[in-house]
Amino acid sequence: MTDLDRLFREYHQPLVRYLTRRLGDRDWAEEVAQETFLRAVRQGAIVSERSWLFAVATNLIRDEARRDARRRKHLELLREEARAEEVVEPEPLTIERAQEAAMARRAIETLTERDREALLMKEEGLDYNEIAAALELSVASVGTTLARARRRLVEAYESLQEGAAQKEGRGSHAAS
Amino acid sequence: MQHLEEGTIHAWLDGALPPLEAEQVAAHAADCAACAAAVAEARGIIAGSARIVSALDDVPAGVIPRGERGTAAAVGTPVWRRLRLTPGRAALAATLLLAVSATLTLRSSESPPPMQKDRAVGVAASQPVQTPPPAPSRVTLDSVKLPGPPARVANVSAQRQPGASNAPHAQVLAERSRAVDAVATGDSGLRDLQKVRALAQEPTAGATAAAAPPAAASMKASNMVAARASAARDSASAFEGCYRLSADSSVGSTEMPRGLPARFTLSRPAAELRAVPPRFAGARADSSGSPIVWQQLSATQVNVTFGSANARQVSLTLTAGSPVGVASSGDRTATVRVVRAPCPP
Repeated sequence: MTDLDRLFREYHQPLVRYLTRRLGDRDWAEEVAQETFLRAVRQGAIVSERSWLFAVATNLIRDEARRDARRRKHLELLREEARAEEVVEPEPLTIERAQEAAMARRAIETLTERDREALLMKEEGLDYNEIAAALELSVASVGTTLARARRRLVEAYESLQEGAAQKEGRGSHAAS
Repeated sequence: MQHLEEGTIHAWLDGALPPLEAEQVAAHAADCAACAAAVAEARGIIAGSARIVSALDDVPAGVIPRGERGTAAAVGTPVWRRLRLTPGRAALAATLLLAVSATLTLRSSESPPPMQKDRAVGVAASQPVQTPPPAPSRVTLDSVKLPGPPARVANVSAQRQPGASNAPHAQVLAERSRAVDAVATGDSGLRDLQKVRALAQEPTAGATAAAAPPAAASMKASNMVAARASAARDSASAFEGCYRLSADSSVGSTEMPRGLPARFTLSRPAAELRAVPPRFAGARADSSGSPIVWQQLSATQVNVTFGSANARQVSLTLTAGSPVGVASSGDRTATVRVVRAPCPP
């Protein structure tokens, strides 16, 4: 088994999931993951593989975000259009699940970039040392970062839920 | 020792503190009611945030046209440029293609001798067939006795053992979310490995190889996961009902952990049915009358907290289909027997 095979088998799934959660598009995530592994192969020896891969993937996203802020908005429009035209969806998400996913995405977007990345990395099983290395933080501050990120995420989500419930209540009241 | 900081509590629950410091934190949490409450709250927040993060997995794939979506390597580059195709080269390629296909057509119109046919088949059959090895199987599905198949929460067998640390809540949740992609990315991962391998071998043709779309398969996988997940949506209702607790005699225990009632009821107000992360307050503890807050950790696990924030709280984790619950208070854990009991009229 080559190094590439091993790296891929070990880290592809968590990396793609991390990127999917970060980007909101699985195919896009897989492409960024591919580029990350490609760079890993070209890099040669890597000391801490997991934190290196997550750091490179995160930087790739950041670089692209800086470069293409305007084009991203255009892509969002295209994405919405494509979604509207999407006909082959054998088992679509239930409305409730789609709402939850959308709310979760809105909630996670309220976090700062660093908090969001630290939280998503932790959920992928990276330990504090690896998160610190990937995000260039001190190990001692990872706990505080995660605590803040988790609390804000839950608060943002609950606030969105309350807003949705109130809206729903108003709608049903108006209907009656 | 001052009260524990929130970051320290999270680090402790994440198992990230050095042993000595972890012991100090555990001792403090056991003695300080305010910190014990903060620890309980942190547990809830960790479980809640993990649940919200896992909701992000419901992402339809392939909705951005691939030609329009940028990759880090080839953002905004037209396909023909990535192929290094100029009009001259395209014309040359077309001419060559015509010439080759004309030759093949002429040859195929002649009847080839039987030996040649056989040889051709033999060569084709002897091509190495790359059978993708099975996806890594780190995940085992429990036989969960709940309505509907397990979804994002397929792997929740990580019960805490007696004497084990209180910390690994987050690890359980991380394992749980890993279970999703063991299903979802298995096929596309192997395909991507082949792509990356090709890219690594031929860097100049990288953009071309990267454009091969796995969209249909990954969309299928995404839908499959979503369909499985939707069936386990409201599994909290499976936990509603009345319970009786007793000491776990199978481990030699004769006394119930302090703070646990002998009987309790899990119910939830209708308005909170759709709460995610679900935290249901107001359930009744029949024997002690102390307040209960219960929270769905996954499709097969709930966490029930007994006692008010001011007093010492005891947390009890129930797993569907398991006759044993794990009680924890501070850094102490113990197992108790849990049976469903008829509800009082």
